[in-house]
Amino acid sequence: MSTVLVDAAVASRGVALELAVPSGSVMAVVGPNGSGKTTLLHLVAGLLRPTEGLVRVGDLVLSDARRVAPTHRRRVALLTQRSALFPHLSVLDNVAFAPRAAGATREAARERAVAELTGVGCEALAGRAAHELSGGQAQRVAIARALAGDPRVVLLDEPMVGLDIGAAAELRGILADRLRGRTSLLVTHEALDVWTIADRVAVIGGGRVLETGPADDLLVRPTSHFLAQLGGLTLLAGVGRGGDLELADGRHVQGLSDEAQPLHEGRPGLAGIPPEAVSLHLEPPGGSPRNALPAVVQSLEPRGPVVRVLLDVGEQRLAADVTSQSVAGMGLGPGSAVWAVVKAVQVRLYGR
Amino acid sequence: MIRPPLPRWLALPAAFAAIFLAVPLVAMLVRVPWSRFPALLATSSSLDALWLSLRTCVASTAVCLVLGLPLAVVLSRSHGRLATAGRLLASLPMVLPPVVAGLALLVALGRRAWLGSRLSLLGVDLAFTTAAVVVAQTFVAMPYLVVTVEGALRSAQDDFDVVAATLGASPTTVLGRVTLPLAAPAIASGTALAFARALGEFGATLTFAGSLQGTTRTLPLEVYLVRETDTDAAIALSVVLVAIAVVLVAVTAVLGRRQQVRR
Repeated sequence: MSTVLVDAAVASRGVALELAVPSGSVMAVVGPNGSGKTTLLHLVAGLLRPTEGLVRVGDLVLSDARRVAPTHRRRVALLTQRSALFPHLSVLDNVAFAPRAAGATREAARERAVAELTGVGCEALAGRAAHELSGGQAQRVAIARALAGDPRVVLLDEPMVGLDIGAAAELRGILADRLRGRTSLLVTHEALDVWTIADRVAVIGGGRVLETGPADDLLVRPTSHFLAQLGGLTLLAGVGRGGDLELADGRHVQGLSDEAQPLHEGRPGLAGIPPEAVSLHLEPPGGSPRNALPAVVQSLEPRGPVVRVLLDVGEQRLAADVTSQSVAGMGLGPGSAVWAVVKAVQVRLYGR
Repeated sequence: MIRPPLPRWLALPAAFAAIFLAVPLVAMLVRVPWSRFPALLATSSSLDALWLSLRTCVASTAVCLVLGLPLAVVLSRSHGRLATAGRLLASLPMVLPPVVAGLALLVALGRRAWLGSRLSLLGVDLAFTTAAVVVAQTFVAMPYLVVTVEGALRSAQDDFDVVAATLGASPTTVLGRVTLPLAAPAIASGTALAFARALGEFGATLTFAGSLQGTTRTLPLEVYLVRETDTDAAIALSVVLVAIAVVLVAVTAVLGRRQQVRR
């Protein structure tokens, strides 16, 4: 069993985190920058000492205020946005590093490395040097390297940041595949990562865990906590129908089907809608084939030059970023009935 | 990108500096009696000095590596006043006049000195032996290795050691398989520098080890000695030293470039 239990405070960082990751489940961790996400990972990896409380994996206490088990004895792998492949070793020897460190023979370690490289589709890169890889390839090799050590817990700190869209989509698929059934913590800002990779979500804000729950529940019926912490997209859940996404109330959302995870007829799917692509109107718009959804304003939150408006769309939530002028012009407040309008080309449809 | 040009007048002092550095070497190369070159080197005192220099330099460079590498690694990870003091101490012999270094060694390790007298009770007599040459060379050369390697280790910003630890590598494994291999170019160039410094060592050796043919009279001491009686022989020996220095500088330059590429 490798259930992770964190109940630890780090006074200097103003963080007091309480979180349990069930054995074999992938927990997404979302929250604004500086909220304590990386601190959480560092507590589990043993790179940070709790001033109070403890970190436990299974029945083993890894850290408390007095003792901290050294990182190398924890079997906790950490993957960051920099793949940090060792520049003096080939791709193969990078991946063989953990088995070698655990005492495997060179042959056994390399055999394991080839298997892990195959698992991320990089077996052809075994002989290359680290600097000969693209960013996406390097991250895939870093995943293989992390998993080759049979870690009890895998920690991922925004592994997709800095990759181009195609490479990020590929990596997302690989992570979904390779992390299944492994106790993991994945820090991300993307709702799509949560949906694709994670079973559970923890929302962190101000150094506290604000809420945790099954990923699907939070995505389909997001709380304002959850939505407020996400950056890129808000998601509407539905079913594939005639190339569109059909919502529970029968309304259709049109968009472009994602190439890596296309929407399938009659199967559950998601529409990813960037908040800045949503415009709000008091009257239903006519004319071009746009997505227009009746919505009720739930809350307004100023965010620099824009106002993030959280909307109830049926049972689901949608975020819209609009200027404060238009909020004032329309007289928007909690409870206002509006139409949320999005161009179809700005909506991406995902299947699972 | 076209960089803004340098001021033109800068070429004048720069050229002067280059000429200043080149003239003595060129003058010496011109004076080398090439026809008698092998004969000049083949005298017993020359060969003794050459052989002694090679042996002692290899030995002192080895000691520099064995003791200096650990010091460099420890210093690179240390903070606070003690570490600052350690860094200062480790680089002091670089700026110390060699004759002062030799005197310090004599005062510490000489036969009648506090430490030296206790060592000689154990049957270890250092002063005026070949071992004393190695001690003197190590004392002045080790800082070059320590400073070079420590600087490289400290400026390495990537946390490969953290990554290695999360992959289950013990501190010893991290050191052997990650930290030191990554610092290999710096270690090589630091070693070359230390070897060169040991080879050129004069003042500390003369003060602490003396000048006995075949025992403590290294190449630089031999050059100084024969210079008065046989300038040609001194020049021939000097050319050997210059050749070794050129090779070492070239090695360091190549390794330095390789290190930049890797970054």
